[in-house]
Amino acid sequence: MLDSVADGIFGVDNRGMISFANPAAARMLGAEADALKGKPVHEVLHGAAKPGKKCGDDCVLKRNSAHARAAAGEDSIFRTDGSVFPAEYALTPIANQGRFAGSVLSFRDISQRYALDRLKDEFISTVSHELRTPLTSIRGALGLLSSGILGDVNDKAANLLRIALTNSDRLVRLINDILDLERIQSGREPLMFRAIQLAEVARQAIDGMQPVADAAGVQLIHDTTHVELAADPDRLLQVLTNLLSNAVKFSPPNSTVSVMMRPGLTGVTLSVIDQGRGIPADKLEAIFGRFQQVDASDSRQKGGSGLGLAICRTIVLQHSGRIWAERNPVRGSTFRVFLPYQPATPEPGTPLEPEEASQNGIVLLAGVAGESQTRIASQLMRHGFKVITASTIEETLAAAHDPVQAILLDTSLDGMNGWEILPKLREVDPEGRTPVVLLCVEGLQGSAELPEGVEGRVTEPLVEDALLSELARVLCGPGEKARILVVEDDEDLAGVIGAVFKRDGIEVRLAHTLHEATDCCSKFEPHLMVLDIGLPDGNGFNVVDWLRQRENLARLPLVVYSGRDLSPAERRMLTLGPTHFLAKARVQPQQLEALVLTMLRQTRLMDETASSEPTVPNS
Amino acid sequence: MTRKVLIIDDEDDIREVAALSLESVAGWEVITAGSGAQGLARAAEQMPDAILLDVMMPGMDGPTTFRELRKNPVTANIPVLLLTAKVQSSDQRRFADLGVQAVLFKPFDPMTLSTQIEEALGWS
Repeated sequence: MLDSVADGIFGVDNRGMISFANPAAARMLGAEADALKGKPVHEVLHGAAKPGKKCGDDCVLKRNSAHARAAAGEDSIFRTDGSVFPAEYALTPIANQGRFAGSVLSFRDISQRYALDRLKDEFISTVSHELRTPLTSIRGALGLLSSGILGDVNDKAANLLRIALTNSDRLVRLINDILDLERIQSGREPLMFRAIQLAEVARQAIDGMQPVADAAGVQLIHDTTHVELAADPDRLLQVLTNLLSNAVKFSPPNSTVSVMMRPGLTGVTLSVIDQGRGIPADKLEAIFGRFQQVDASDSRQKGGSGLGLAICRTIVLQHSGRIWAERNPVRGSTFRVFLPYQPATPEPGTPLEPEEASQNGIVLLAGVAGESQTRIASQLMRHGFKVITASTIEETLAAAHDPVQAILLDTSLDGMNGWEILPKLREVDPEGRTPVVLLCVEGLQGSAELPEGVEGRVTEPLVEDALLSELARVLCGPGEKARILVVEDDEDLAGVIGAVFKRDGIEVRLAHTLHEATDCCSKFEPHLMVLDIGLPDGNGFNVVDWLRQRENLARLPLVVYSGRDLSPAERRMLTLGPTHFLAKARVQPQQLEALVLTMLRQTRLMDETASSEPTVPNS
Repeated sequence: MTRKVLIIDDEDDIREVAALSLESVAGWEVITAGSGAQGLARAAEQMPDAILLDVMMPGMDGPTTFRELRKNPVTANIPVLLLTAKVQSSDQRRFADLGVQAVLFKPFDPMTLSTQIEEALGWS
């Protein structure tokens, strides 16, 4: 299977020398796989760089390739002919009985993604310019006519001109907002954080809004709390201006819009309170989605682009904050923004620690060696397992003491038949807490029945689905029923997914819309959510944002289903706790099942270690 | 004192609307040019008090035209304001490096275009 995989994969020994290279790796580097074996991996990746482009002592790959340290990120890789390409890589160490036994390095060429990003940027820039040019003439002509400076116009004509002018202004704002949202969400315009006085930014926003408020007969008041925090002042001003603009827009004459700031322990909560008509309870969440309006008809009259709050939410989230809306008891709405004194999120582009990414636990791979070992280990690690290896019976028995989730046992280990090893394993683990899965060579399966003590069997050469399914099946033990929420608007697809899990004795709820999903989350408290990110009344991003702002759900494991590939920025926005991304067209129900079962098991383990009470199994 | 302003933009309609705006709102004298090359010639012969310069033009673009204006001692001291639809901050940084007096955005409000120019140039 490693032969046909598109990613380059290197097996690296504990001295940093390449022990194995798959065809893709050889091809990407412009060399023969055999020629690469025995060479230091860092030398292979960066050695052909021209003198001016050599990496320094802080090169991540150089520092980690011969050590038991994981690394991941983006870096340049140099082909044997000296040419270079941008790559995304992951370096994962393998331990053998607690000793560093080498690593697996996987990488892929991301030049296409870079090219696509550049194309997208150029496209947006060009489209923006092309749209603004004719709008300039329209706006200019209408402005002059409307002002009467070129002569009087009758009332009807004046009214029509006013309508035309208002809408061309609206079009301009829409273009600005679309560009803005795209830029901010793509992460290509990173925020510039510095220490700011919140009261100063609020003051600026209010001064900017004063003329509009005066014209609308609305009074603006604010408190003078002194709060300092780390933020991007321009973006924050954008958020406050937007909130104030909405508040004034929807306030009746002679009412008041207030801006309050309340510093807390970890951050400050800013509130914009209006006395307008208020927002219906079931729209309080939806209004933050793109192109969402409370009430289509009159919001358009007020000239909204439908993106303002979506932009606000994106900016606030990038400050590691929260933004939400409330209905006031008497009348009007309150928009609250919580901002931590220090944003917690890492800068985009920071490599993820695969240590944190391996959430599924440790698997002991016993008896498999060489190419098979690299292949199987790579598969397991891609699915979030950490792998330790054993090549003798002694090592296997010793390693079984470690907190492994499962043992993958070769039928032939150290000359001894796998079946014979089992009793010995049971001596080490009498309660049979660690499930054992046998790896059988094709054709030598022996009897169809599983020997006692073995929970599952997989045939070599391993088909990834089968391996995962077996592992997942044995790992999701009996006990409390797991709860999954499937959020999918396609009824048929939802039904299929639901049926797959009901088979495993899991309680499944289905939600077809954003509203149903958030409603269900509060009542059902799922352990995991399978989420289709294109929903009719909003989209998956809104659901994830909503979850992020709830204490008990902010780290909910997710499996995100999407009809298209997601950009890294989009993936970041959709990640809460352990999150896996699947492309609709490519995933099979069994894969989904295996993935979800594994994640559930991990969640349960974390809950068990966290609580001190013994769990009472359901009857 | 009546100001004289030169507008350089390849779009006919934008030249017309901008000219009408400055003439009727501020009462200024306006001359126009439809390309960078034409603009250089007009600037040298008419010596305007300010030049409103578009960025995206075929042939000689705004920045190139600006550099040429600076090279000619006759036109080197005429203040130049860019009038552009290129509003992204990456573009803004490029413009700032050029050394123009100010950057105004399209679409503009025709009733305040002259005021924006006055403020940028310190005219009363």
